[in-house]
Amino acid sequence: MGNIFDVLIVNPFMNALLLIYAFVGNFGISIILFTILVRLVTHPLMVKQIKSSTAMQQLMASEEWQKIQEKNKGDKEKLAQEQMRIYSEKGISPFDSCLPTLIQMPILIGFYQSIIRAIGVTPLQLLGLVRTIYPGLENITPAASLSALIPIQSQFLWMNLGLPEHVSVPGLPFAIPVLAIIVGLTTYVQTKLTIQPSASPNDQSAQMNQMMGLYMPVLLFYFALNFASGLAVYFITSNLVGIAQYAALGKVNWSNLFKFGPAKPQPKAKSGKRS
Amino acid sequence: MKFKRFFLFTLLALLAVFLTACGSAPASSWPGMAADADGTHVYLASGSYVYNVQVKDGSEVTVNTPDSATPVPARFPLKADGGKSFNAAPALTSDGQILIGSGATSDHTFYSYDPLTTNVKWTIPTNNSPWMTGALVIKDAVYAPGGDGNLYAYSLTGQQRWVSSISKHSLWSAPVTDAAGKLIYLVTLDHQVVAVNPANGKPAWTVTLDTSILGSPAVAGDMLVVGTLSGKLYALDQATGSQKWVSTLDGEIWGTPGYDGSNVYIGTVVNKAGKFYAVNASNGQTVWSKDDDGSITAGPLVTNDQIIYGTELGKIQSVDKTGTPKWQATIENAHMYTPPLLAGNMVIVAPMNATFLLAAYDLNGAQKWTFVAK
Repeated sequence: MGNIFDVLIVNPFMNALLLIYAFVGNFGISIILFTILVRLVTHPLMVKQIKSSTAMQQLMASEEWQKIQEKNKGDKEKLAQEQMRIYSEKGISPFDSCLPTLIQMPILIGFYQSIIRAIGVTPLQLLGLVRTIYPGLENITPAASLSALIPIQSQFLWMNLGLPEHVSVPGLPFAIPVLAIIVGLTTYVQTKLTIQPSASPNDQSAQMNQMMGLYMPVLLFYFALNFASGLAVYFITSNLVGIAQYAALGKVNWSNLFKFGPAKPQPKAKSGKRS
Repeated sequence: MKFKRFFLFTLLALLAVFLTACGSAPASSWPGMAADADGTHVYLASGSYVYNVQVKDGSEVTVNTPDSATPVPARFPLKADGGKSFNAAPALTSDGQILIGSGATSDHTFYSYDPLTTNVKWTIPTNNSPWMTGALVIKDAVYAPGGDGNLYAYSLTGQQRWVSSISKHSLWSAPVTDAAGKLIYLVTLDHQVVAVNPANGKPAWTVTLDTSILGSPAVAGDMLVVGTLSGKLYALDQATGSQKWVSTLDGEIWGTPGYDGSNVYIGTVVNKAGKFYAVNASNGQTVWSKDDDGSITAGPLVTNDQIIYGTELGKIQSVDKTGTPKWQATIENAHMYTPPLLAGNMVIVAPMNATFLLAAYDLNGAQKWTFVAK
């Protein structure tokens, strides 16, 4: 399974990343460019996901939905049947918003692994890297030959992309993980800006969104703190491009940025809740 | 909604598992080892510990501590703290110190410790980069190649003598010296061979080769023999760095060549397979070569009458000086990335992915013991 994943996703990603590196000569910029490229390629999936989520939100804010919730409060089986009926009538599938995410997951994981492998910070990793560089890569540009690629110039700005990043400040007894903090902040901002308002602040969807807004920044902060800083560069770029994509689609919810409860309900949702 | 909540948690859990499975890199390297001068003890750097193993029977040396009523294994450190990782070959000094740097991402300290007590004697302060390879000891000084590309010179009491910038990249290969200890020779990932004056750290000469160099140079008479990732084997003059010959081999060279006074021996990596060569040290001509099913990353062990090398498929192969096989042994599912070592009259190997950390063979290939960390 691991081999199939490597052959289909990780190795092509790694070679694409190395090819970009061969052209630009800076691994940090290569990560940024490749992240943008991957986000653009997966943009149609994201658009589909947003559309499905929006349709679901509208459905859940509708009076019909609220009514069946109220009517079947004590009968979960009946409620499920009614919900399925409405899904069918409206042509909405609850899985439509999950599917694009499911498709994006292997891409995200493959991209992460390709970054780590391409940096090759130990001899064992370099052995694996050398074996997975496509032989034809150097035909595209001599800068993609083995002798030109190895060693990867892993220095980017103040950081070594193969190591976790910390900045030592004179007078401070500990180093500051600047990049990990930026990862945490940008993840938080992205999550807050891109979570769509819920039909009801008390429903499970709103609670889940709130959890996401807390878990994801902490999780990615932890990764950025402990793993190669090349990964943190990817997280930050991905977050910023994600915000830009949502903004371009007019889906950024600026009002959420400094609100620390569930996302503010839309007016329509308020009326639905009143029933 | 329950499905959605379940989906979200599963997604995050999967993400965490997949991402952390790829782990912190510097811990995933092959082990390093060294034997003391009289061949009675082997020091194995593998993961969280440096083990002290007796060559006679493969048992671990023990030490008494105030915390335990019974003797405990004399490992360094006595208790793993998770922050240290050791994979370089330890360096041993004439006054009984063991020197080794931590290759972990969180601990970048170079340690001197007493193998009898495992107490730290002195350290080289953090240089913000993992120590990837072993140090060289010449008389009363230690020369430690850092992960920051610097070569650090310290006295055996831990006083810094000089620091010399060698490369923009991490130094992965241990330095070597000539018979008289006149110069220190280092190789770099950015294609260079550098000769450094041990007195002041100033480069005596620098030569740029065609690709990255991963194995340490072999001192062969008045020459240095160095292999590169492109499969080129170079012979350089020790005093000036001028090229005496170059030989192009099939595959990549990852290890340190062996030398027996007339031939140079080295294995190569030909994708997943390998090839082992004997090259005439005077002119670079191939004397003989052997194909192997497994790639050969580590340099060979050269004894009086045999050459012993390991392959990635877990095979230990002994051949005589004409390339005729003498004996072979295979460790199932293991990978041999660490060069075999001669300690006393035992050949010691440190396989990766085996059920034991060390195995000892006599010079006829009979396995004498294995060492499992308890």
